[in-house]
Amino acid sequence: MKPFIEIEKVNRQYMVGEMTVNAIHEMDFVIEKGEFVVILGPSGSGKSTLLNLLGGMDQATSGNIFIDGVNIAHFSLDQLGLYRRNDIGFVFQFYNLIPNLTAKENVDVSKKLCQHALESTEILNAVGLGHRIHHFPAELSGGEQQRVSIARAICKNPKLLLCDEPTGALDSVTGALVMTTLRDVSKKNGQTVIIVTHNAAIADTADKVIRLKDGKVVEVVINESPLSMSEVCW
Amino acid sequence: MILPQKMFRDIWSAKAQFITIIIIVACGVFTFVGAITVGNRLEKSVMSFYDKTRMNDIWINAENIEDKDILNIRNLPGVEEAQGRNVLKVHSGNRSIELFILNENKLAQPFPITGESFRSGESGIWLDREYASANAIEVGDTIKFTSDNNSTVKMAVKGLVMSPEKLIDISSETLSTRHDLYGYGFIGEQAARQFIHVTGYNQILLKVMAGADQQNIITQTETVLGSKYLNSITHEDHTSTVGAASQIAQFKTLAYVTPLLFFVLAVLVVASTMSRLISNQRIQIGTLMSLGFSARQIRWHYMCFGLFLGFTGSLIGMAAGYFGIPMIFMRTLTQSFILPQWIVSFPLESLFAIVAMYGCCILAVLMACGKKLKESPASVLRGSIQTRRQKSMAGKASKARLSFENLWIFRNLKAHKLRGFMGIIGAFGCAFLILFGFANIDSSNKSILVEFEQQYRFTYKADIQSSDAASLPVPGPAEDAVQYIQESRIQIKSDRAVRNLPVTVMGSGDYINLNHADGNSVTNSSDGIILSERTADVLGVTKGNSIQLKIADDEWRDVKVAETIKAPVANHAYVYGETWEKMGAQFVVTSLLIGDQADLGMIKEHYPVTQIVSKEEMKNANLKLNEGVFASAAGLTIAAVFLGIAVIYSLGLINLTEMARELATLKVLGFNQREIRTLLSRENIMLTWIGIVLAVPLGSGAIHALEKLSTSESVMLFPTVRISSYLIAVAITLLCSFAVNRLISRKIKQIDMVTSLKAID
Repeated sequence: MKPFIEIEKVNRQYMVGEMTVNAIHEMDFVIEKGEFVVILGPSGSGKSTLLNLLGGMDQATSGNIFIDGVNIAHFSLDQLGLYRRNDIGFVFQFYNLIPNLTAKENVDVSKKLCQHALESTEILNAVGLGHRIHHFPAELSGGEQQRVSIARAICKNPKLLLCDEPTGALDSVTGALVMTTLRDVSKKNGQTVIIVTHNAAIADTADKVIRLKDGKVVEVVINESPLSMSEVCW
Repeated sequence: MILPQKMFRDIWSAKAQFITIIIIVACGVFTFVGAITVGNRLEKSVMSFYDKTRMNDIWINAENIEDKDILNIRNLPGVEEAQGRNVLKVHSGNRSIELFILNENKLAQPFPITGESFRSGESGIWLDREYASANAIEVGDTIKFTSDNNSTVKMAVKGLVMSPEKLIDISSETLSTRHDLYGYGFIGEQAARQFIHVTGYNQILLKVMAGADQQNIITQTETVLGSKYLNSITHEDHTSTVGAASQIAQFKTLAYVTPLLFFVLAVLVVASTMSRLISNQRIQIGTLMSLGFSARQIRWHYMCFGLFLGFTGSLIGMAAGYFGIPMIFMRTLTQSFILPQWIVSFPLESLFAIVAMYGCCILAVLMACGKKLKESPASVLRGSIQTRRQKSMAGKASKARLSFENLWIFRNLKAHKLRGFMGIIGAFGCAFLILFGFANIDSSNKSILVEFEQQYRFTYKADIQSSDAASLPVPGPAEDAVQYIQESRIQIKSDRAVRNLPVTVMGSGDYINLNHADGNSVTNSSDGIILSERTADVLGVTKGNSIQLKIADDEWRDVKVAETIKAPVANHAYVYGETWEKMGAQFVVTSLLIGDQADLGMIKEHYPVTQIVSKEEMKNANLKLNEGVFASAAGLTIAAVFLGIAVIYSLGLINLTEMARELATLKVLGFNQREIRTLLSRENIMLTWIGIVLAVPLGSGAIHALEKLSTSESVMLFPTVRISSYLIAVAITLLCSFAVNRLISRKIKQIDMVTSLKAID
């Protein structure tokens, strides 16, 4: 069976003034469907760039990116827009909720885009926010906001859930709670999850860990027995 | 200036935003400076002309005035100078010339244009330059003319002149600008004796000392002249001087009223932009505070933004207003006013606009700084999250089932009320100014249409040698029926005021149709005099009141106000012939009103016709005067478009910049370009429509208010707004909004998801 995600000799270069920066250099790896994958690496290793490429927010300079058999590296901007709309759920480090919409309304924004979206109230209940659905983001704590962000991403019932430092702005207790939620809900819906983080503790909970350094994959580790979130020492 | 490099780089990085502010500031200064410059130019040119020609203040009409009368009047307290002259009408073929016969040339001097300067002791005629030009007459040519007593004389044209009494390019009697048919000339008394018997004068020109009471001087002059006195005219009654004064006043009103909207918008836009800038630079401000800069120094830094914007915008506005607006108006003014020279000078009042605009910009920046700079550096650095929390807490979840787009718009406007208000004001200002400009045209045209299509039903008007009505043939059957009229002047006195005004005495016929404001005709009333509404207002009288009237002798007689009507010529009286004769006055026919069935040849045979002019000609002459109104409407429309685009664009940019993160999030979620554009443009269109809906009644209300406030005694405004004017105002405003939406939508494409979603600062 073909892998769900195939990255083949992907490069991403930027021009910064007159200098060429190789954010990603000849990257290769595969991810299977339903895997919970953590991408680790220090600052500047290319984690966020990789996530942006997978999420259709950026385009590779060269190489191939196959998502469920489709090469998105050759997509036009409109095709990438549709890809983001139908196939991707994104969770940001700083939540990026719409401040003038309530929790439920923020999730309904996603629902509006997809034909096969999940029910927003159910999802919010699933992330433990059933009693806060009519509150605005500024009335929610950081952890609650991140859970709304997760609900918004999952509501679209995407093929692929991408999370960029989802616990980066949270304390350890809240971070653990958010990760638990993320793991449980995505598993329940059978989604493939890729989390980018610099927090090595999370790696033990993943099915696969991909370590990056200087824009390259230096190690791919498959956890035969990933820990549950409650077993992790935050 | 503190941190000038930072200021200029901040401005450069948000140049689109700041350019729109500069445009709004420039528009405000532009409209003020432009209008003041034109008014100032006209005023200075007219005053200069008056000074150079020693223009008089009062005209006294009397009979057989002698030199000793002039001497006595000259010695009256308050009189600076007095001069006698004779004024009579002569005819040259079918052309009419108003001839001024001078013994002295001290007041209202003819201004030489070509040829010799006027000398009263010499023979020859000094002719009106416009009349000469229209009839291809040059200095040295000989012209022939005939007086009312049928004496004919030929005279050499010694020079071409302009008169300070003839500033307005229109014949006050026939309302025609036919310079080929109407003109004036100056001759010396010696030269006049060739064809008329000159005994005494029939007019005195008076120049009064500064601060003297003119009415008192007129009363004293009346006493000196006794039974010789007929009537008096001051600058307030004289067609030419009133016309010039009225136009100057209009420009000054335009200057002080129109820019108000721009000033208000400048404050809103500057406050909004600077508020956002200061919020976004919270970290920089906190850092500067930590380094040791005081709040006062940082506030001064941001005030320099206001000063720079005020200076740049004012400079541009001043240059554009000083050079640009006169270019639009001067062509019309130079055609409407006959002046030898137009004086160009910089109006010092322009500095008021600049100072006011500086004040607005600084006030706006102080509003934007608010309390932000009073906090501790740590609070300032932390401020963003708390501010957002306070803002969002202000709104409650709406229970209304709104679509996502409408919910977005509603919540966004609720959270940013000032921005929403700004958008409405921008659209309102655009629609209001355009509607006001076009309503002005509609109203001015309506005055002319009322006069020439409702009030006047004749086809031709023939001037005749003044004849006693009793001596003229009785008007014949319908096909060549004429109506006799007498056009002269009377004095009217009430408890409140004395006025010298034109009167039309109407013989039997229905070629003049007087209507009440409700459109019903005024019936033939032998019960008194019919006054125009404006005259009645000035005199403080209404229908049924008594006033005093003086016709051609020294007797004031009591007469009732039979009716007041809304007449297009604001300052006018009408009397039916029977009533006139009942008052003891003689009905002296000066003109015939003729229908379209009449045989003009037969009319000329039966009557001593000197001149025939058609109603169409008269109407077109008046419409020509309206060119100034067209020019002002064009100017207002241009300013309105600039205003609308600048404000709506500025609002769009603010929205885009403030919501870049949210819009990027929507992009990541999968919203396409069209959907995001719809969100922003729908908000824009909604605010535009609110502005238009407010502007429509207020714009049409403003023209009604202008009519109420107008004190002009020469023109009566008939407030009218045609459907086409509403449609034009709405269409242009929507077009501006649409154009801005197109510009903004290009910027949506440029939102980079990756950059926009990086860490919050």
